[in-house]
Amino acid sequence: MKYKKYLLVAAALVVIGAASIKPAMAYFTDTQEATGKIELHLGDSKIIPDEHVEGMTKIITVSNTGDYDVFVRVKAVYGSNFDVSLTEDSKNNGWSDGGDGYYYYKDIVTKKGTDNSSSKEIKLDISVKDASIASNGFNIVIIQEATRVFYNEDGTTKSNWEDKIIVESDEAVDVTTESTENQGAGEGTAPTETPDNNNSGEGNE
Amino acid sequence: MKRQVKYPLIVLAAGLVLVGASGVGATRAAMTYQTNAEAVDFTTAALSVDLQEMQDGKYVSVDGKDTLKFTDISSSDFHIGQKYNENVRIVNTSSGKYDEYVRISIRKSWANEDGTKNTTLDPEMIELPVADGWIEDTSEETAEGKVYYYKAPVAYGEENAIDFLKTIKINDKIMNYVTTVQKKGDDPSIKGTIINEYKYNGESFFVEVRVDAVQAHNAEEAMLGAWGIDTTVNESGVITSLNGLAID
Repeated sequence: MKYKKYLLVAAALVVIGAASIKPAMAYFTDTQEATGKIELHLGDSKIIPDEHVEGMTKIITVSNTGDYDVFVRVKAVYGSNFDVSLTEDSKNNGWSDGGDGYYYYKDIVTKKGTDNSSSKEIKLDISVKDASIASNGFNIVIIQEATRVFYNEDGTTKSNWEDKIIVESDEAVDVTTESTENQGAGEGTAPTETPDNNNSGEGNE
Repeated sequence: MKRQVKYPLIVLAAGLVLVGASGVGATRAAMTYQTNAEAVDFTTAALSVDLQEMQDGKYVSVDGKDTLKFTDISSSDFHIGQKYNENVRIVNTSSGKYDEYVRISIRKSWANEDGTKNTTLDPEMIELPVADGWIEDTSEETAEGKVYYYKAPVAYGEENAIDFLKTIKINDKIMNYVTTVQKKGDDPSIKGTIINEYKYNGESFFVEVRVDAVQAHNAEEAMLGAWGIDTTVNESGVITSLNGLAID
């Protein structure tokens, strides 16, 4: 009899307990997710000079053989008995004298296979200062350099010939006198790489 | 002693008369007029939100992996440093035309060719400025991801769509990170040549956008229950404080 009473009390407690559990309520929600990605390609290009001489004028074009656009500039190195000047044609083609010994091309030389992958010609007129000491033949050495193209937010381009790069060197560079001489030597080869290293190409006339 | 009713038959007859009389007079109804009960359209809220990206000039719903196409970038040569259009917006598509509050979680990172995340590269180089009207929850900010809440409830329909992203740009500082490597080979013309290997070459930038929506009714409790944030909302529904920090 007593057992039944306790059972009744227990049952009552269970009912009260169950009634106090609040019903599970959730707020209305929704969600959606999307992802996407794009691959980047960065690199340097190699430029190749193409030069020949007509009379006392040296004519040079610079070609881009790599996969990336570059800005180019050209320097002529010659003996003190000579003088070199830029022709009007060259100025019309987009070349200008930078005042620091370099001639700058104003447009981008685009990657190989595209319309602008060679620059327009630059013509340098050579004049002899003192004919009496001129020898029969002489050399005008052309150095060309390239730098990466930087883009502004609006898509216009800018070049930075002094740009600094943060470099991690993989290993010590093996540069013997023999190899530096070979660096870029030979007819018309011109490794261009970084402007910081100022690797230049040399072509002999 | 059994009581005996006098004249039982008379009582029976009286009873019958009573019953009959009550039946006759009782069927009387007042004139009533009733129209068909109007069907009450009773739907529960089906809250829904849509994430859309502008692709080739039209907004398209994006849902799932690799659905963000960045059409403005992929349509031409990708120039580092140039700002491209990238329009991403939110549309309230709830079937009951209910208002909702939305929040967006955006994550960016760099991934290798095989898709694994490259944590040595800086996600801050991927610049994705957020449109006006979004409040950032700075307590949730990491180098990779940020969470933004839209300050007012979003009404139903495309005409009330809220812009989230407008432009994208990769910072050209990434061009400065190179490793110099000596070119290998016995050919004397290349020996000693040093070339640059760009650290970011071949890497992909990866963007993930996720939108959550919650009912606008009982805004403060709803946002606390669904998102776990403590907000104060004023009469027009605008969020005026987030996790204790006031927003102007």
